[in-house]
Amino acid sequence: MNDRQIMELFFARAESAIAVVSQKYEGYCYSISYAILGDEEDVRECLNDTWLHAWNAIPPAKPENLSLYLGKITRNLSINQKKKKTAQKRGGTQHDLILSELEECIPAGEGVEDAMENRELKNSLEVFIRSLPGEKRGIFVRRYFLLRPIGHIAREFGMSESKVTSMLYRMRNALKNHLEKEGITL
Amino acid sequence: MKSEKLFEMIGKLDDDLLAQALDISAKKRIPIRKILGGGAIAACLTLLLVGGWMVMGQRVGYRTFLEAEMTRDPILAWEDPLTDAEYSAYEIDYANTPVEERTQEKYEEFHCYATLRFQKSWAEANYPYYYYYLSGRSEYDGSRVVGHRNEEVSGTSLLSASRTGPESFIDNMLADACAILTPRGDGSMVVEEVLWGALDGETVMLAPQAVTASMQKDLKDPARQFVIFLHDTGKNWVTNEAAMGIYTYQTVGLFELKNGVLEACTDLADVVRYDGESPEDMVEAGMALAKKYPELIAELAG
Repeated sequence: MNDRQIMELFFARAESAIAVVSQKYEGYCYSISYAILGDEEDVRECLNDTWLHAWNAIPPAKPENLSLYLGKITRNLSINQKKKKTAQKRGGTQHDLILSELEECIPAGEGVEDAMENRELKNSLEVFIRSLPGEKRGIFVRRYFLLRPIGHIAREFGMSESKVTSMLYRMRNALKNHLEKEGITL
Repeated sequence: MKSEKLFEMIGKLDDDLLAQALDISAKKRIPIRKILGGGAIAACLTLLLVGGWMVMGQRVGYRTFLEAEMTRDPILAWEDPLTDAEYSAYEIDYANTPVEERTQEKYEEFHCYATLRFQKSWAEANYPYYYYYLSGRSEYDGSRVVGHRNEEVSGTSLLSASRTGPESFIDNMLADACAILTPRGDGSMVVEEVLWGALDGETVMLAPQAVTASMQKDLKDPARQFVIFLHDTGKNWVTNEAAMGIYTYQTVGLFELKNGVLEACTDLADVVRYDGESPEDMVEAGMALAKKYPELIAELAG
């Protein structure tokens, strides 16, 4: 079933949409989530949340690229899950405990300053990625957005792993220079 | 925390930008045709390499071997064991297999299928799979680079045009090559020529490649240029910037470039001169090689 047909199921509110989308994209989303969480159980939970999130969002959302849309959801949910887990692991000392308690006082959402900084960083990243020539851009996004293993990328692009490693190393250096030039500090 | 922020922000990039980047596939490279299966190519190359070894053993010139190699046009015919839908289902099934049930056998099967799919996509995209990399031992003379690389390759990733370079490797072998590259404006390198050889168990397999006159002219010392085939030692190579596991080489073969052809080896003093980074290792490797393959060394040197 192609993505257009899957979208039709979502818009028709047919519950089979979830089964179909999970069957088609489970492997893809699994690899993203597992690369972040590294835990089978957490990944399962995250994938279930991904399908649910998509079900709740479509419609009205009408993503033009379903795989990218699901990939982004999975990635964000996995990052959140990882943060949650890390926070749970803390708590060994009173300091950790207090930090954890104080986190509850922090209002949800970004502050104005944070939002501006994030927007600036996002714009700068986009400028940098757009400036990369074809294959390099493809490799950068596969590695840092899809979290693809280097060997996987190397095979996909018909290069040696060391070549890909070297390209990524140079791109990271270039990104560092680019961010510094833009006056962005993290 | 800083890298986490950067990582998180990459996930929020513009959809069009990401989609466009993910649509980018490998550049189209040298054309290939599709006739033989991957297994057939591997078998063919086994014969080719063993044949090459025998040719050398019979004191037939490298040119002969080279010409034989160049007349071959390894070609791929895809015999797909799974349809796209079957593979998709298989991939999902594998992803759903609990980790504890992922036996070595299952993993190998999955790896095999996955590799075959990549091979298919390469074949469909009509480009060969070639290897090159510059190590810390590369030399740059202002316009060209003589670099060395080392790659463990698998037969299933074998595609080769054999018209511009012998990028023909073989199953489960450690293939070693020396590449001569020309930098492009964007910092990437164009492979001008690849010189290659390999070590398979107790047998050294060599596939010397002639170097064109124009390439030889550009080399630093055209009259006496050593080309070194290297072997992965598993040790880190320390550069000015970092210790990197990808630069872990040791010499296994030494060849002299004379009149455009790789002809001989054994002059260890020259090898030390060639690479002053680790002379002890180089000498030790050369001595080990000479001890292990005395007949070869005598013959090549003779």
